[in-house]
Amino acid sequence: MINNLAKIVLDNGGSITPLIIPSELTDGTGLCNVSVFIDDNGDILANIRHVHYTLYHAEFNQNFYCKWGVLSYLNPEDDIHLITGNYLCKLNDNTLEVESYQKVDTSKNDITPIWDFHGLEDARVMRWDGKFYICGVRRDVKPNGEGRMELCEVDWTKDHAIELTRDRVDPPTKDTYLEKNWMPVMDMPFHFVRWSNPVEVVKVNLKDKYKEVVLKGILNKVSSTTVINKEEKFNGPLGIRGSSQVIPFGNEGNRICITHEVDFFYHPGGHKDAHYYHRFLIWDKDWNLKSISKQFKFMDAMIEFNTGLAIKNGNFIITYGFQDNAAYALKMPVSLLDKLEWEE
Amino acid sequence: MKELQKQLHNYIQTPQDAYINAKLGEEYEKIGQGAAAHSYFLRAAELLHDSDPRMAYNCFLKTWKQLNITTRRPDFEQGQLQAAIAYAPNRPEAYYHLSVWHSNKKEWMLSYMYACLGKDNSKENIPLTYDIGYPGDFVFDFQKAFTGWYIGKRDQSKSLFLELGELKDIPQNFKEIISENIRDFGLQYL
Repeated sequence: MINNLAKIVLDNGGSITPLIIPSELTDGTGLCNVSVFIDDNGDILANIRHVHYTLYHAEFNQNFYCKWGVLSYLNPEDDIHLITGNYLCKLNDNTLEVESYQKVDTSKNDITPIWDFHGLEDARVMRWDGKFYICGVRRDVKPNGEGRMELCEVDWTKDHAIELTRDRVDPPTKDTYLEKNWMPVMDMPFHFVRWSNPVEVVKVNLKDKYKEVVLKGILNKVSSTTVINKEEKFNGPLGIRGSSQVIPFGNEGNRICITHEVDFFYHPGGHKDAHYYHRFLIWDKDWNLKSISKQFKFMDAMIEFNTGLAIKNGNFIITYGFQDNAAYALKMPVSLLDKLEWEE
Repeated sequence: MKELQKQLHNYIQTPQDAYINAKLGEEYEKIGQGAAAHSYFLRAAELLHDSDPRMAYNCFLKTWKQLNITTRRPDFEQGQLQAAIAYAPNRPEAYYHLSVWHSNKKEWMLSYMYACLGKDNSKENIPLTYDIGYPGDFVFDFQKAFTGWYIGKRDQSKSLFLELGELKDIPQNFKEIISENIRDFGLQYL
């Protein structure tokens, strides 16, 4: 178990950069769960999730309760919905600082939200067939909070970032409540790793379009089909779930990603709490599990969440949120993978 | 950004050093990133809970301060200030801010009560390392003068404003309010 990946990275020639959107736009509330992507022209692009809350989360011995315990979403008390907005950013090539940003304008496709969580959460970024997409989970269109991945094409220029299309993806198996953290496979357009362990890859059928009438509007939907479904499984202590995109790795057709797992527990106050852990995971060209790292934390916090992985000039760029309140980009030499601990 | 980077690097080297957590929180606060500041100050408060209560209290109040700046979380603010008093009942700052919290809601009796409690209980007034907006011990008399006016303590209110009017080393905004009250109530002729 690695408690502090960032320290290993810094001690071995890497770097870390805080990702900032001016507080005039956010009231200083949380920035987190960043997804990063290297565009065809080499630009480093990212999506930063802006949550309209500050996460209260006491760690260590958890002595300091707030009014609602040691873990609480501090939403505006006159509007307690958990609201997400997204900022598309260009990062500086050298420093990885945010150079420019545009808030994604979703107004063309929005319908009145009717559940507690509003907006597209934990969006990953990618360009497929020349089109720029973000894809995350939306839970605000049905009264029960059903979550589905939504694939959104975005027209992003210097002046605006406008969501052109929004397709809600039906999973290949029906009657699931919450589909989230599907990992886009960057070199296989419209394919996602739906489950990591054992791996299930699904293809989104963009040509199979249909509509669904819901309480406040009409959803544009597309189907998906399972195209790879392996049985080989790593027997770890916790369920392994998707985090970053899946990116090509090396010259043998391998692919690499970062996964996450959650260790839920009840602290002495009786409230639900959690530790989040991540791992590097490598598949070979046929989606056989090749290597999986030991669990790691990025910066010693209980709640951290990765949603981005890219490679540029021999470095991984790894982006993540810290306690839902801060966002970071880690530049990690690819060669450092060999120095990490891996499962046997 | 340079100082933020420096403190972030320090944090990564020793993420459970409470004082480094607090410094990183301070850097985030300076650039308006209240949520990030909140996280690091809360870590610092937890780490110092038993070893350095004054600094823990300071950092815990900083978690209140971030949401006070953000606004629209009044119940949270009240809870943090109450918890701060419970943790360090001999410190003045949380009493003062809770008195202000209630006077902002025109809850004059509660505001007056916290001003009285703060004045009588604040035995430990060594300045805090990080600013949380405490102008000085005169604020309890100021709050008593202000809120007492509304709860039948007008004579006390007048005499407190007159006493406050004698103070030299207090912030200008307080001086102006005190002067206005002395003038408006005709106290200068008493």
